Amino acid sequence: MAILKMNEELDNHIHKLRQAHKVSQQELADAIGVSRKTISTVETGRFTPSVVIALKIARHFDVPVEAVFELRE
Amino acid sequence: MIDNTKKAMSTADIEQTFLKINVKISLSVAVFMAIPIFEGMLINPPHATGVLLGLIAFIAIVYMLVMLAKYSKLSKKISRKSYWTMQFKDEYVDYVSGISQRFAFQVLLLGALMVSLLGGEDGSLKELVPFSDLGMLQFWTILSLVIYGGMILYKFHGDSEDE
Repeated sequence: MAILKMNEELDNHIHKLRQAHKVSQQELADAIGVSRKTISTVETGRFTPSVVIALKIARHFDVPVEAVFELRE
Repeated sequence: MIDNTKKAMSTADIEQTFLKINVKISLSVAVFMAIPIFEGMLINPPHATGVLLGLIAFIAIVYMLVMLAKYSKLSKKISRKSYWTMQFKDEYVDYVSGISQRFAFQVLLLGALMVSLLGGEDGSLKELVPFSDLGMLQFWTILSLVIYGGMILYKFHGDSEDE
């Protein structure tokens, strides 16, 4: 699965992680207490989340935050 | 068998719905305010046009009242801070609310500055536009309402498919 490239500085692997864990956007949103739209826009790079959300997503998938988000070189 | 259990809305969903209702109110107010200005621009409009514009204004005001009722009902489910400051717990809803307000404010400020600096009896605005100062203020208010609502709709459009 290709990384979505809408954010100029940040790449994310949320879609890949969701697919691997068989989790829908709504389930992930409910698990970390945000709207599905927040997950959707973060995933497509249209919105850069706070550190809190980044950490919550990482914790949900039990991976370090660098495995979810990485700076584009 | 039909599942009748209705899932309770999360805070994030309530905030998003609240903001969308706000958009509908803003746009219906904009339509209601635009009708008399538009009607005033028409030269000898046919009777049917006047009736049509009256009907549109009536629909806009009824729609606004319905949305206000929903707004009032939903406002009990959100925090007082969100209600008065339009700041929300959900990050994306808060971001959309903030950016829309900033755009609308800048447009309104631009209009107010234009009327303040160029308006009045001897102002040059009178030579440029066919409206009175009040008409110009109404125009900029309508524009800011449309920009506010339009920006929120734009930011909420194009939801990616959940997979």
